Amino acid sequence: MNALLCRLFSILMIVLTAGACAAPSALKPLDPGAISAVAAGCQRPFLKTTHRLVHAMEAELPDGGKEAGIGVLIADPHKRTFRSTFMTVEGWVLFDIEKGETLTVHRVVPPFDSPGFVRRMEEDIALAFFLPGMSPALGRGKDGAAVCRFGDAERTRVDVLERGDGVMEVRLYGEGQGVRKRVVIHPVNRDGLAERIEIRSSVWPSYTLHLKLIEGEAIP
Amino acid sequence: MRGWRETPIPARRRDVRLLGLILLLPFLLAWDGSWEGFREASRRITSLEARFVQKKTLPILAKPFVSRGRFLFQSPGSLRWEYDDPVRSVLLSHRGVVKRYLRDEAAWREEPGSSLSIMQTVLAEIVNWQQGRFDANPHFQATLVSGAEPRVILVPRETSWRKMIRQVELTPSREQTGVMKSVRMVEEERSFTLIEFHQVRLNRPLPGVLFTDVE
Repeated sequence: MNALLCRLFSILMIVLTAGACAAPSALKPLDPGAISAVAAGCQRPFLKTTHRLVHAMEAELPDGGKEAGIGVLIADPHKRTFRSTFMTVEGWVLFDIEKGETLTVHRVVPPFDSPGFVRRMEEDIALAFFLPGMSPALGRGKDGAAVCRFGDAERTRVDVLERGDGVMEVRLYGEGQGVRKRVVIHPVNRDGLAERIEIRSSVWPSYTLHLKLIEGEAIP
Repeated sequence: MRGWRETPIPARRRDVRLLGLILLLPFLLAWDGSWEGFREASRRITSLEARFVQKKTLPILAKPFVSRGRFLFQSPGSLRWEYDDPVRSVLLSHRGVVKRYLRDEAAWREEPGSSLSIMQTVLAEIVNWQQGRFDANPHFQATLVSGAEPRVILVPRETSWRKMIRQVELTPSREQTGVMKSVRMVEEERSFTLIEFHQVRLNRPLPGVLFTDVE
């Protein structure tokens, strides 16, 4: 009986430890002199004004397949609204969705007509292009990276952190506080637009999106 | 992405046929005003090389999105449909084997899986049209429109297809017999693709490797 309890206890400890590893680590205080720079840095990868962006996109799908095409996005970071169209290289539109007060599907064809796809796209676009919120908690993670933490333990939590060389990472944590999505935003160009973005979903159905900027223009 | 494995096969095949239509359009030849003339002109083509400019118009684009590339065809059924800019991709079809390649940072990468099987079906459509059976496609109602610039208008017969594409307009070249000048595919009123062909050369010997190897 004792042996059984010991084994159960061991399993319980493993589960709890694994959970702790997946959850975002507590932030260490920043040097006061670094606070303004960290706060500004966390805003850098996101759109400041309404833009029209054209990306070469490549999707790595759960079955190992890859699909490539062209993505067109108009996004307003203040209203957090957007319209997104994805087409094949041949110009065939596979989906066209718009987020205003509600989410509107103008066009969606297989294989993009599955339940949940549009919601996942909405989340991906918000993570990659919109500042997650206001007044983040600032600090350093356990690896020493400066972190801006949006949300709290009761709600969706998003970390924005610097990975070095101007590369920023956005982490979306799930209900269990494990990382659900990870967005890597490469250094911005002189127009303040990221040349490359990688969006990786680590929960089922896992997938990775690679975006390479082709054109970008501010819309007055 | 969940739906990738869940897509019903019939829907996929419909998309494939529409894509096939796009790919075979350069084979559609100038004609003397009759379907038979169209068929006869197609039989005289042994090879075709052309550059193309593709202009995509969308409601959210301020100006058309432009892609460029080249198209090669060798009778009886080999083709190479290649985009140079802004995204490099190549579709090869030879002796029933279809391959698709995408250019990574430094090298070509063959696109595996589902896209490959899709393109197998495309080939069957291409061969059908290449043989001039243009007015026999059961999925489209074809109409010859005469006038200063004659055109062929293709309208899907089935409602499900019309949701995907409203119509296709084919304009043969007036200057070069046997050559298409442009193709316009209308998805919706403000969403359409215009492909214009130029530098077209006919019946020149083409190295077979163009249809089997990406480079």
